[in-house]
Amino acid sequence: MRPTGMTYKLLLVWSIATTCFSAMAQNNHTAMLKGTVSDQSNGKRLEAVNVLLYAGKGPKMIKFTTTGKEGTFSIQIPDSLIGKSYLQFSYMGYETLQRRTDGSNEWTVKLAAKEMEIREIIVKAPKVKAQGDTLIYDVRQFSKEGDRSIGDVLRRMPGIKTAENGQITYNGIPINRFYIENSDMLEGQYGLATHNLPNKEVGSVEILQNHQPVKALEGIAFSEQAAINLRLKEGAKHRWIGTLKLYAGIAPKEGLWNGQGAFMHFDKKHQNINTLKTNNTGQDTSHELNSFNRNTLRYRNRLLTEYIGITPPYSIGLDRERELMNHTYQMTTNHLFKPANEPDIKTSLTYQRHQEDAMKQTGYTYYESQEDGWNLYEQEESDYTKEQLSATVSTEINKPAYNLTEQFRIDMDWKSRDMNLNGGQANQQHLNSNGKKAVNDLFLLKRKGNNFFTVSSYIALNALPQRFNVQTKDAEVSQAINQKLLFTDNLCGWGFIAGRIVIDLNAGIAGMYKDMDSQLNNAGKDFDLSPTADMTLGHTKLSLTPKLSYTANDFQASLTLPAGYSNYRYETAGQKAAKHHYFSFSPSFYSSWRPGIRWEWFIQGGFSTQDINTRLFYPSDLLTTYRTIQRGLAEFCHTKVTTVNGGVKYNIPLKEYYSKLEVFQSWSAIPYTLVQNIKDGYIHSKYLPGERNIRQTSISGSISKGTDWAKTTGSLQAGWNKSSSYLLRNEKNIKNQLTSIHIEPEIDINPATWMNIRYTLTLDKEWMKVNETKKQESTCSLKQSLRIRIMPSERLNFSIKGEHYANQATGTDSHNFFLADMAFTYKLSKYVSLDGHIANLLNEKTYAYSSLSDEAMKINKWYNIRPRNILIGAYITF
Amino acid sequence: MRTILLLLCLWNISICTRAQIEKHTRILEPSILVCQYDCVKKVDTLGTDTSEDRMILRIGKNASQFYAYSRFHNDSMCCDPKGKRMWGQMMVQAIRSRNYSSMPISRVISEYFYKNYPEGKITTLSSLGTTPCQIEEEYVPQDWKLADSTRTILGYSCQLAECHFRGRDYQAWFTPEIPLNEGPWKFNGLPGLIMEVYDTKHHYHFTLAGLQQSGTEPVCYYDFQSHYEKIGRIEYLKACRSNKGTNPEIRKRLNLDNPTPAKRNAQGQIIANDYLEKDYR
Repeated sequence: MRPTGMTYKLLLVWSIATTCFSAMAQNNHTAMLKGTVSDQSNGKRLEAVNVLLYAGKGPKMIKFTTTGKEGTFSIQIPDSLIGKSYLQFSYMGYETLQRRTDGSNEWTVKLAAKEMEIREIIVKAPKVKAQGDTLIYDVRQFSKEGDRSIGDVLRRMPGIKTAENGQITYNGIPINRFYIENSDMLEGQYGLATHNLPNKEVGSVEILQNHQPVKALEGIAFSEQAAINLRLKEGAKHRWIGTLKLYAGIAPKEGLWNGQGAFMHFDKKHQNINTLKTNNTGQDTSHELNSFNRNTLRYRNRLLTEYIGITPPYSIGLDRERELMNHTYQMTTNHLFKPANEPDIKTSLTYQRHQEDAMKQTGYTYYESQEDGWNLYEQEESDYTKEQLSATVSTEINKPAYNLTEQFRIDMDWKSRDMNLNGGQANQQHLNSNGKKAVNDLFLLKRKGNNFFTVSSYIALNALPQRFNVQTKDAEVSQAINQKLLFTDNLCGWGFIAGRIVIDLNAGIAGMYKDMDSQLNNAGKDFDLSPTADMTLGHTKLSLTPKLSYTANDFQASLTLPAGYSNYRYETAGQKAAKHHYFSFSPSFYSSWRPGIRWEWFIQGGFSTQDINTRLFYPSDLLTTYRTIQRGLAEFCHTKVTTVNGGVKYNIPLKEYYSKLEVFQSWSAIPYTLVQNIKDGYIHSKYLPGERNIRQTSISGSISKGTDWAKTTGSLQAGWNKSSSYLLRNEKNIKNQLTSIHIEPEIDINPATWMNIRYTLTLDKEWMKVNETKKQESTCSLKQSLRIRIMPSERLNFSIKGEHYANQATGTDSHNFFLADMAFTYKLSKYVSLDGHIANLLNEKTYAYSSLSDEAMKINKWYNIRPRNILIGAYITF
Repeated sequence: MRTILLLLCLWNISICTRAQIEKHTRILEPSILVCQYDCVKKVDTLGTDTSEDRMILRIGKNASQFYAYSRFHNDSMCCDPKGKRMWGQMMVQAIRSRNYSSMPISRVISEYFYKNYPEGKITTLSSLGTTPCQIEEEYVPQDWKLADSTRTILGYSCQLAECHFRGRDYQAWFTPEIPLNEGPWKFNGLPGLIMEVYDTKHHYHFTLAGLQQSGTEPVCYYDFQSHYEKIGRIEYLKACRSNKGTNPEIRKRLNLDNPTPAKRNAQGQIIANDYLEKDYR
């Protein structure tokens, strides 16, 4: 019988099946080799010995295992490899052993100790590499649609904070230099760069941490401060770059304009920035001119200040732009010349003319008791003009062996204010002043090895004449004040580090000479006034300030022990000179402790005896406003202040939770008491010797939490403050206690990538208690703000903002104000954008608020605000 | 001249900060072997841009430590006031001379890894934003498969092994001539030292550069931060991606919560890379 096709198929399946089965059966023939590995000398079992199975050509490693805790191992090998393979036992510090597989399943392996020599491969110490992401910030990465100047981008960089006045801090400490291409052209006046340098021309922002600007001090004097260096794009150098902003608009009674031009040029040997600005849209450009030069900040309170208040005050709570009715013109030009092998020369010239009109109504209550007080109401229309001219020339040699920095600066200003006052005491006022200031600032350092010698000398000459005329329907009152001042401060310092302890020692000599005369005519005939003054006051001070700092892992502490010897000489016309000597000692301490990753505690405090308040030191009466006469205190007395401040932070960063709580307490012993007498439309204030204690307590805290839901962040800030003070008003003792709270919740939601919503609420409430009565005077102000920002495309950016203010004082209805703004930006091209802005959509006319003062006073103010206005314009960069 | 100055600075720092480093160092055991690896990471997985760092692996009888030399250098300088100052100056010097590669900061891997410390665990010390954190995971070997290929690396004969580990396929060349079950990063469990290991897409590549047996520093636990926040591994990786641990104020300014336009290379492709471990996704 011939096999059929079916039979063939069956035979094939059977033969395949039997082949597979036999193969599987063969594979299943494996042996499990087990054993122990121990030290040949002492029999100690060895753990983690490599057991490798080698077989075939090469031979090749087939399998491996390692010995366990008891030095045991087990490895499965196919029967077919028995006799044709070997096991290798290797272990660091022992001789490697190879044993052929011989069919035995139980293995006892003993390894002999042997120093294993490894062929070393020596490499040189690696070069320190960088990632550059913490200190060099790529401007492009931080830029957002709508950013115009580098200041807009700087605000977003980690650790950098820009204050309202333009000062930049890095990790809470003000920066010490602001460089553009490694050159400090602006010398502290860096607002000019942050506001005008286009962000698209800057490649990167470099944060130079612990920056020591004096090369000769590098490696000796440690600087906690950082510096910022702007690195421009290559295409932005060797050509003129800048921006032009041209806006025009309409408001009900006038046309609006806002024009700005910034032109700058940077190359290796020369840098310059020039700006021209003008607007009548309420933009205060003068903060660009603020200088954050170290000595300018340090000595600003030592120079002359105005007795007669010419500069109009701002409103509380409301954006300045909403109430400022101005005409401002401003011009600046800054140059830096860097000749080869010669000192750098810098020049700066700024001019500003600023005129503002104000229309406001004010109500004052001067309390004599909780129920009883003197009320005053006035309506004011004023026209204020300020012209300001500053010029600076400076030179710097910054070499590793020595440093010489010399700066000479002249500031002049002319201020005048005309005021028409209606109300209880109608009058016309004219005020003017003409301040002049010349400052020379020298720093010289010579270094030899690790020894160095420094001299720093600051000399200022300051004059500030002021005139004040008040014309009422009956009389003309006038006040003239002439002040002149010479001030100098000279310092030298050393410092060294010994392990965890850092010791700093500073020595200084300071001097001051003030000449003042004043003449008051026709005022306060019912008071016993001293209308004229002709005095000089001299002060020299020697000081020594040792500082000890200790740093450990979780703990930091510092102790500062400044000691000084002061000598005063006061002379007034026709009287014998009075002299005064004084030793002062003002110790202070700081300590912080981090017991864990989430907790941080700190405490600081100090006691200080302050120098004589030279501002109050004059023998006459001065008319400071049309109804206040202020007598000076020509007595040598010192205020003593003790402060203690402590707090705790608790953060769980990985859960996006941050919280802190801080407590502050101060006790001031002021050696004079404020005495006020209200008579004949005047408030006469003077200081009588006699200690007055002022106590202030405040508690503040904040808490914030982020969530993944719509990338929402919520925060709450709250504070409580209580201060008590004491004064004599119309021969009555007035104790006054002021308590205030501040609560500010905020929520920020991003429901989509093209939308952002931010809501903020601010609640401020104040209570005042006069003479411990039960009844309290209080004010309350509530501000809510909601901003919705929509970015429908890369070219278009649209935002709408609504604000609600509700301000209330005791016994009055709440004043409610609703303000709304709309803005858009449309990017026409890389260089040109079209901007539009509608402000005050709901056309609110006034803004009112009440505030309380720690001199037992209540002030109610009504401001006229900018009516609805539209502004449209182009923003061009080149 | 700048290089000499920089080297002088480094030498000076190494002396003045030694005492400070000791305060942050806990010796675990003597080293049997110290290896140096070059670690190369592809910055743009579609392009050719890479960044590089030198890594140190110290192997002891029980535990081992693995870290970037630059990270250690940076941390050790910053734990001493004088060193911190020097660090600042080196930074300034590097920025002023535009020699950014000489800046004292780490580039590819910024964590410290401790294998079998404590016993049976891998401890990782890192930071999330400004928060120091500690991750603990089981110390288990990768599931290695031996392959046929062999080659010689730096005079040592090596065999190829392969594994899949946390989202990537790896190939490792190990030498049985050095019978230590160790390797760079978290790799372990092969019957010989790993001389070279990389993922099959070549996004990360570790190559042995140096071996030292005598006169080596012991295996040390560097405790540069006094406190660490404990966090799970997956949670850590997710937090890295979402920039957690950074102060909310900084987040707001950095605009970290809003997506930023993706960075693109010269060919217009999006520049992207991922971590060594991808199993957090």
